[in-house]
Amino acid sequence: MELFLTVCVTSVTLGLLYSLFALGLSLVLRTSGQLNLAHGDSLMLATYVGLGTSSLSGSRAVGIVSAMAAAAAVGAIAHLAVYSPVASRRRAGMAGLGFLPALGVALIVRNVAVRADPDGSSPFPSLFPGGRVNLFGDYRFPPTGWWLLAAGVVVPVAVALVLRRTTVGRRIRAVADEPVLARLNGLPVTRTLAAAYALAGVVGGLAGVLFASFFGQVFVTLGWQATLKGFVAAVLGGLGWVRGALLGGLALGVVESFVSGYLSTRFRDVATFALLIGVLLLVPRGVLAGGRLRSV
Amino acid sequence: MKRWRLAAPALVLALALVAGACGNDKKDTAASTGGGAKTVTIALGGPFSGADKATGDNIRAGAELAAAEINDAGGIAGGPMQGARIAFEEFDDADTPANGAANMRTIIDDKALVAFVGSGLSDVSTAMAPLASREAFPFLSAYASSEKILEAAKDAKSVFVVPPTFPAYAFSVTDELLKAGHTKPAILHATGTYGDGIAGLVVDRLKEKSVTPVANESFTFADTDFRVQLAKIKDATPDSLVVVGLATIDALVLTQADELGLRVPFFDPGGITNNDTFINAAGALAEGVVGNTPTRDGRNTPAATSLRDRYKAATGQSVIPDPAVFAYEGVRAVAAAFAAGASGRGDLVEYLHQISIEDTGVGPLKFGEDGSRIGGRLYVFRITGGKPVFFQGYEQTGPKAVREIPVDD
Repeated sequence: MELFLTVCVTSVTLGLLYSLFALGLSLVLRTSGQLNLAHGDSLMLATYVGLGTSSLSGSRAVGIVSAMAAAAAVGAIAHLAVYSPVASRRRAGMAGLGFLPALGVALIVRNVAVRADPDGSSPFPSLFPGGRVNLFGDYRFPPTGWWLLAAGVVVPVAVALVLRRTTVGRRIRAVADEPVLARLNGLPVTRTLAAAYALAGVVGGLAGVLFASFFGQVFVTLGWQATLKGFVAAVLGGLGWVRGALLGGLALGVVESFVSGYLSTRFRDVATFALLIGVLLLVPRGVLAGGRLRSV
Repeated sequence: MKRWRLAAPALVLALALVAGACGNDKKDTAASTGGGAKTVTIALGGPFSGADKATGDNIRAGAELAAAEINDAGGIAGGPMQGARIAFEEFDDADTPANGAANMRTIIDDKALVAFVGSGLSDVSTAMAPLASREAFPFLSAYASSEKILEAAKDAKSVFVVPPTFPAYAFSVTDELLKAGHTKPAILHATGTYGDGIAGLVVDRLKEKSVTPVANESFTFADTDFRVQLAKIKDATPDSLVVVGLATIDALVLTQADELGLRVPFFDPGGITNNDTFINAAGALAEGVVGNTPTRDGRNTPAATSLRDRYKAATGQSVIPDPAVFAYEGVRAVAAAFAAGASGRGDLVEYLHQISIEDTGVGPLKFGEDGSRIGGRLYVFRITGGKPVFFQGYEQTGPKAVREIPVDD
């Protein structure tokens, strides 16, 4: 029974982290049509920024906010300085290569992080207050776990509200739906896309400090893992705005944890990617998207 | 005009080819006897970029220390290459086997390079060794230490593993686990050559003593959450836990095991817990962890003290990391083979099999028929008060054999 409960808890905690990774990727993918391969590395670098600022200032809140701001800045600047200029110079025959600038940014960001942390990992104190609580048996749930559960509910709702209720959110959705029409109507498409990258960065920065606080360490390799898991979760969820990312992340967490718990860890990635290929073949819009791809 | 348009790229191409050819000439000359000064150029490999760059930096630091020591003493001490200076050409593999294999091809084709010293990961050395073996090229694995590296190269005997091999690591800690009276160990290990290899040897050693692990779970190096595996292990009610991972991973495993209430003695047969990264990350949970290491800080032979002092003067660090130690020994081995009579890469392998260095600072260095180190040592410790306290030594006496030695040997 304790094994089953541990698997359930791990499904949820891992699933919510994957959801937050996926949310940032989905936002950019839906808005710009581009897979932002630099998303994970941006949030990884931002997590290091959060570690540094919290250590220097002695304030956890400063660490969290600066991580969110750093990831937002990296995303927006990369779009304005690299992605947008490259896209405007794209020629015929280069379709499908739109991910390359983001891959370049990812590698640059990763190399910066490696210079900053040659060991590849650093201990990360929890930036979220609270004490351990006995869940069941001897299992003492770490305090960041509760904050992760809260973020898993609050962040998707907050992002949905931003997209529905704010001017920038409505512009993001307009650009996502009809970019040419949006431009003809005078919407600042480049700046709106930069805002989408920044919003994705805010979510990513928070996901990064939650991840590092939950596990007590930050890794240079977190970037690629976040991109990979987030992308799989986003595809499973149907590449929607918010709900798809949330449900896709949870689905991925459940599959990984139950396969590891009741089959073998060696089959975990096989099961995950078999599921992904199955979804792409049979339900390309995603198992969980149904027919409402554009719903928020 | 049209002709010029065609001629311009051709001219650029021709200039590039000429420049390239000039570059190659210069390199070959410098590597042999350019300007009358002989040079022995060794290909130095490792993860000089990427997440494991620290290992590559350590390999470089150890190799450069050996080169400085040899060159400052007047170069190669004897033989046809007497007086030759040691130089390096670096090959970055970023811990990727495919990069390592591609590097090996380049290294073999470059006649100026006499030997390879390096690799941080057994998967990389295992990918490189067959090619080196086929071409009879001298290959010294300086940190990667799987016995599979030698198995991949057993015919040509040009492949050497400088550290003790995996069986020595696995058997030394497993023997201590058994001596402590544990009869229900569980194993949690990484997948791949390193993790599967050492875990398999631990299981073999346990079976020799009629002990079967109550659980055997695995993970990948990309994992950060081990709660599910640990919950399965806890279900099996073990009396001890053997973890084959990396420093940061082992610290995460300890933390998560503590969260789940799995509090049993922790054993590390991978030689990765004797460092600040693990001890800082694990904090108080590191207390009592039993591990092994080939470099005991307190060893006080003249060679050991000298090596520590020179390394501290060169790098500012008082503890020599394992990759640095073995890269240092690898370069010393090549220099000793040249001093014994080797004249180039053609006969270097033969002389490498004959060298015998009494004490490099780590211990005696000579190689067996199969290329493994004879007499490689490991020291078993228990972390106490945040520091390793050594209590038992082991010496590798064969490909799959160890014997106990005094800890202060």
